[in-house]
Amino acid sequence: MPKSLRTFLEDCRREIPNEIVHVNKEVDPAHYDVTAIIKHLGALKKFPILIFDRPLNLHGKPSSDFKLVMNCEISQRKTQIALGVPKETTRAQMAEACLEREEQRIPPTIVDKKQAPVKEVVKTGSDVDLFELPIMRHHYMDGGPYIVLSTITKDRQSGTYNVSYHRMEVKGKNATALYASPRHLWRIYRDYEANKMETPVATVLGHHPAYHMGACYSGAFDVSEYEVIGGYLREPLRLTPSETFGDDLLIPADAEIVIEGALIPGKRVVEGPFGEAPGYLGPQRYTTCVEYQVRAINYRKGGMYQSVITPEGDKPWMDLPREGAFLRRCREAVPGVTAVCKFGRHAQYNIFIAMKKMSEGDPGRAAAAALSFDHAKNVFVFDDDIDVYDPTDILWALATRVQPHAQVSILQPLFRGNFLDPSLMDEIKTSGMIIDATRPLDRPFSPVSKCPDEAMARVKLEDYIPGEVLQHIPTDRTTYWS
Amino acid sequence: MGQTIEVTCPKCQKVFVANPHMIGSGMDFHCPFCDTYFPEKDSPKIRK
Repeated sequence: MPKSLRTFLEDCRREIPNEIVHVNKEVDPAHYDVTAIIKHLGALKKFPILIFDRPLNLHGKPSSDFKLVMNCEISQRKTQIALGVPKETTRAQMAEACLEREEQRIPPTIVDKKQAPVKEVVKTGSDVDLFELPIMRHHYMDGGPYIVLSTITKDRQSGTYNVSYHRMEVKGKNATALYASPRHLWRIYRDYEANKMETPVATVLGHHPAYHMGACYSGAFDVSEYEVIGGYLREPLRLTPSETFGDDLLIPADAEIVIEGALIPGKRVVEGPFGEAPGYLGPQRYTTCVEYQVRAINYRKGGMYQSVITPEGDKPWMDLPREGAFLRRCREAVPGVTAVCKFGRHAQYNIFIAMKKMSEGDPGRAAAAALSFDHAKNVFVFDDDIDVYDPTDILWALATRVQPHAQVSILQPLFRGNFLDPSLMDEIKTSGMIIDATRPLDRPFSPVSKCPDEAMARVKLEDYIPGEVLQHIPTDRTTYWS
Repeated sequence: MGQTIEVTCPKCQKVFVANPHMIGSGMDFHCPFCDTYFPEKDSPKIRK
């Protein structure tokens, strides 16, 4: 059976049954019910997959055709299930797995519409009504209901498919305002626009998490991201013709819901504010916000609409592909790089690198490689004995291995930053910082104190503290990243 | 100039955030609270 959101949920029911919760009570996603439930659970450090069986749609009526599914992206264990790797796999190993899948790309296959579950229901023309979907308002002051999952475009000249995340505010029954940050989709749109042509476009509102992870790929422009997604799925992504453009725009056959249509050339629309990934409201804007006319909605019966709340929880599905990309770049600069962490609310724009330093200057090279990519602003470099996924380790090394006058470098605002960084003092440019928290190679440095390995192996805890006593001792949670 | 300005809606008087490039663009602001579209000149207060 081809991978889909439904096969993933079955896998989770088998592997982590306690982490799937059905909410049978009616909820109104457009009036923050779902946000509040997820925030309450987050305060308890609980991030189950939530399946809302009775969501209201944007008309305020029961959304009989659709369910709302949240939190599939949160937690390392769910992402392990999505990738099909053992639960013992570490975060750094998972980033390596992402790199492997991006290199072992698999071309998609094309299936007839009759074989495509997403074509079980198709609405076109005047039947198109986004308000029938259980679309959320995510945060206070959001400009409207928002769709936040990935959008598909196709380069006009090469035919290469691009899949990328862009927030879009619902503006009407068949219209949204898509915020195109200056990346691949913007380049594709601008080319169509220069030729006074509409940009064919589709947005997937529910699929297997491996699909969504592949959509996070941030490599070269000429790589088909449908092939990358195949690599993440470890099977060909099944595609089928769209209603609007036929074979000229193929859409995922096993998606839950796909909306499709066109980005209109020369048309800018005001959108926002929107509560964004860094944890702040992205302000209202228009310069790169384009009108997305929705001309068809395809969905499976009982379609499961997915969304994501940021910055709640750790989101490996979104961060791991980026961590893999940072790892690739830093390792090209310094082969001794062992791990790169960028994840979590507290690591937005911060990059934490661990390395086996072979030469003075290695930390600077690795940091420079990190600063060349994505939205890196502050780069911290550590020895490989530091767990860069553990803030306690990070803070200890910063306190004990750094002389600020010599190991902190402040860089001029030379870099393209992120519009969503509220600290920017310029429209887009950001300064940077490198902290080299590695131990010096050219002078003695006090060794880390430790219990001898022999004693650790000889002394068995259970010989001294019985298991039944041990299990009742509460765990001290001094770390706040999970 | 920073990334954010605060705009007061002339209808509901609530304040929301916008990008400075909205100023002088000719695009109407959109109040996220009462759904009113209004030109810059109608806002009782814009804090830059």
